[in-house]
Amino acid sequence: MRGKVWKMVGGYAGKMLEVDLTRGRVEKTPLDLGLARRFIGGRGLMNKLLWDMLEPGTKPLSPENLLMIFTGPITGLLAGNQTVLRFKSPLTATTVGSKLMGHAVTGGQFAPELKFAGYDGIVISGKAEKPVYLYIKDDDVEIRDADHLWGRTAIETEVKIKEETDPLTRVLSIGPAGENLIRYASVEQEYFRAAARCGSGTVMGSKNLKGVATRGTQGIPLENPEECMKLEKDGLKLMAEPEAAYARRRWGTTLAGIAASDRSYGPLKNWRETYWGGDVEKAGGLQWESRCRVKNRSCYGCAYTCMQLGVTRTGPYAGTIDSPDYDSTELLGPNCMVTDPDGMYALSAFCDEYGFDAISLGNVLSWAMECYEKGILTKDVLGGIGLTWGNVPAMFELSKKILRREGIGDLLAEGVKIASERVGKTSEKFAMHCKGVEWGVGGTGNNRDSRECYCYVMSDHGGVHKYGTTIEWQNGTAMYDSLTHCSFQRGAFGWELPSKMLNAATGWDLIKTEEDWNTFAWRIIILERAWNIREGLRPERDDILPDRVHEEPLTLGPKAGMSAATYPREQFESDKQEWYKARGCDENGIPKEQILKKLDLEFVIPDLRRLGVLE
Amino acid sequence: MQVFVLHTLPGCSGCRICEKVCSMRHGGTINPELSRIKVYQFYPGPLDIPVVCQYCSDHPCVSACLTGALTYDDETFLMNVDESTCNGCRLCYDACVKKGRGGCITFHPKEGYAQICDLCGGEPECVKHCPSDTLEFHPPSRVGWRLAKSPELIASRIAEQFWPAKKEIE
Repeated sequence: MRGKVWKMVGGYAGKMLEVDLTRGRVEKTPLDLGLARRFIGGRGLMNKLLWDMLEPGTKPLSPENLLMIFTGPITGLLAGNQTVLRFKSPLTATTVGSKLMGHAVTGGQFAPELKFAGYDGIVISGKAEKPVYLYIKDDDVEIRDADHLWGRTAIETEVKIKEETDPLTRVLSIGPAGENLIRYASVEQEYFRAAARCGSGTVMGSKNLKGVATRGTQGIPLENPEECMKLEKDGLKLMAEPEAAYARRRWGTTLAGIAASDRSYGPLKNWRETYWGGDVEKAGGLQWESRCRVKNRSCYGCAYTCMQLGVTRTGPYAGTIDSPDYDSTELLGPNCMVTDPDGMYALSAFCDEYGFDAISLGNVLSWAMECYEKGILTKDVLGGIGLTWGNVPAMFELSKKILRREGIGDLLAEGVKIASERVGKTSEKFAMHCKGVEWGVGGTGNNRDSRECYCYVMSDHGGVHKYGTTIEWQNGTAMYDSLTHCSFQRGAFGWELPSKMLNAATGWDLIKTEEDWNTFAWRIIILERAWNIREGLRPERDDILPDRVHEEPLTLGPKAGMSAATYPREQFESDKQEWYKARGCDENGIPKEQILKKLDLEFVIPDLRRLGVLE
Repeated sequence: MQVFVLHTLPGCSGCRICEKVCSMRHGGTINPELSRIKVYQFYPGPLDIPVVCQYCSDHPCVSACLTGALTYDDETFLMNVDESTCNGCRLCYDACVKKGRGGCITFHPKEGYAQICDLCGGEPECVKHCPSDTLEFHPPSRVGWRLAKSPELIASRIAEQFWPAKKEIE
């Protein structure tokens, strides 16, 4: 399947790296441009590569699993800075335990650097005998010993690798959580960035791979450089518009928590409520600005400066450097009823250092707190920890137990789905996950009335926070993740600017209308669904929400007592059918044959037939 | 004249748009290696420190050049590299660093010749597009060399403002 076309084209670096850690072998293979024309790059291209290269039924933590780290055709152009990771996820699970696709995204500087080094992506397979890291310096690729890094935090690892190589090296690394195979371990980058979701760090840890470092000096080949330069300037102008970005530039996403509470869609008390009332002033985003903020930071090529960097100046957590965002602070804050902002930032920094997914850890802790409150998990079971709501020292103690897989920590390290199934006693009813992946908040959150939480169900990567709640939004994210461009610019750039850039960089004229854009996105999304179905997803059985959403009405805030306070099952069912229909799926959520043909996805039909899901 | 870098807080956001537009102007493509301005990252932080020629009045780089490729024009006040004469020996860079200046000279990744800020003929692109207003364009300073410091030093001075974040990694 690969290597048929070997011709340089702008935008793409033209080759990818295949790394077999078992044999210690590195191979450079040409990128199949035929596939690139159909699946763009990043997320889309990896869907197809996973379909072709990964045996159905592979165990996520076995050496056979693949970890793909990809860029796309406009990475390095505009604010194209996203590294997209795909793999079979150890955290996901259908109702009968089949594992599904894992998806994680990070911004920062890694993706452009990989492109500058001359690669569109890396496919990692096998398992190294002892800890290693991968160092890519343009054409030289080395698998280096990482014995001295094993056990270190993700931040230390990054500093060390930079010392050993080049201060301008960009590093993806895992912390001890990934090494200890905590199911929701993250891949960290640039100290406080993370491609965290679905257990990306766990897969890396299972391969004994401590980090991936890259340094590139080759630039990006462009088919039509003048046009690209012009579009670059357009992009810079759009990003500089004050009305588009003032709030984002000043506060990043930290203020979003206040809006979420005021408008009643934030997570509170393990997603029981949505409205935090006056407490939002104790730990909301404005506290960050007055207490900790030092500066704002950007990813490559972006003028939005939405990353907040700061330091806790006083109190027991003084000296903690952190860069919190909406998701980490919401899940470790209000969702655990934490009103001590310094404690919240310290927990978020702990996740970055030790390589936890802050969203999942926040959900695990809040679930355990609710269990403690209801007497399902007693103090004895928790190893003497009095896990009351908002108790930051107790949260730290329990997180360290999870990190070491000690006592109850061993169970909690499996994520809320497995933990709640083993603990039982109705705790499944408030285990807030979809397909095993704990809920994130970004953009949607606990929006029961507008039924937006159904995006967690439609997502093919479980309860991730960036999937999108409308068809248009989902298409946008799919495309931005495939071009690998930050989706925060979606509002300012729309579909047009990235498409023009894609056309100018490649000279292909792939996307000329919004309809083209939507078709590409549709193909990418349906292939994800088909891949998951091949792995055992049955949408009519597995596309479900936690009972809490349907059964427990909100009691606080503006929505309390209104019909909006729950999401009725019938309503959910009809919304789900509407989505299936819009996506060309039958009432069981299986993509229809004519749609698969229309989208140029005939190759999935035989597999779906064999499974008996397709007529 | 010089591109003046505000080494203060909040300061540079590390977006590297300056590197991008510089490489667009001087190389007609996007490759930070062609840029005359370079952004370094330091921990704790990351603190982002842009380094660009400060047009020191004594320009030690020029006197270190043995081939005569690097010159300073007293009339236009501009540094100039004759790319065909430059042999990429890096003596200019060494002189810059040895004097405790920024180490602002970069080298073309393929051709090897020195690259140094030429102020884009009077309208520096990096200043035009800096989103965090860290870069400014100023009339010549009598003390240009005072502003030309190594990025490590600048980063540690900024970190001093971050009490008590002193994280040492052994």
